[in-house]
Amino acid sequence: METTQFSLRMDPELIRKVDEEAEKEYKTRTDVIKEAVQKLLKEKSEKESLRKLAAELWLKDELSETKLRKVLSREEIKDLKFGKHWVEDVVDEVRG
Amino acid sequence: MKFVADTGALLSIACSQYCDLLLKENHITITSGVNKELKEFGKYADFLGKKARSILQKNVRVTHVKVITHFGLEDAEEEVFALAEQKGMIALTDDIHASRLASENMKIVVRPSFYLLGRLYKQKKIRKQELIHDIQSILIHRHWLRGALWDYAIALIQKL
Repeated sequence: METTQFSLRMDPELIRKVDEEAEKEYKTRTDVIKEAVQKLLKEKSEKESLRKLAAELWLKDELSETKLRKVLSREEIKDLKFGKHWVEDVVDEVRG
Repeated sequence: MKFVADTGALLSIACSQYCDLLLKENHITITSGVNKELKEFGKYADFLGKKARSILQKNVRVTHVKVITHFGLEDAEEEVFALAEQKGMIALTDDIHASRLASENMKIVVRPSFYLLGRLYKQKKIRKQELIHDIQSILIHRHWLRGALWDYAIALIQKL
């Protein structure tokens, strides 16, 4: 796989922790950082998929608002509720 | 109908295969702040950068506006809503959060960019499948955060 080299500035305490982890796991500093970034991106992507799925189910009346609150913030729920009516109004106008 | 579009909505329009028809059929204005944001986008060599450059070349009307009501959005976004309020235009944005705040704070009509495509369908200038296909192709390029809502919109349109 093609790789690109770049420099990274981190505080010495964090570098020390990365090196400790690398030594413990018999890995390089690069590997530890790379794995941490990959894990973070995977978790973010999974979280986003879960949020989208929860919103989809709520829109289909297949998920309660109580459960929706577990994955979306209060503001996001307000946006979603507003968005539902917004989209319905537009489609009604197109139909009308 | 007169519209004032934000950067995201105009980029969505630029991504539509009916872009020229949408600009011909609708009176669309942008604010100087949106014009500046599009020029920033246009500096990049990626897909949206290319679309920003292409829409800028189509000479969309640019208007300067003074923002009176602030409600914590980006300057360019607030300009769009201010112009909509001052000139009685319909604001176009695909940002649901911004749209909600604008609707709560101002007496204006806010519509998503696909509303213009819906109007083309209503005027029988495009067919339903063309409308759905175009919205779906715009979604791929725009990566709208609230994907669930746009899927919901497509499901409703399919029932038209």
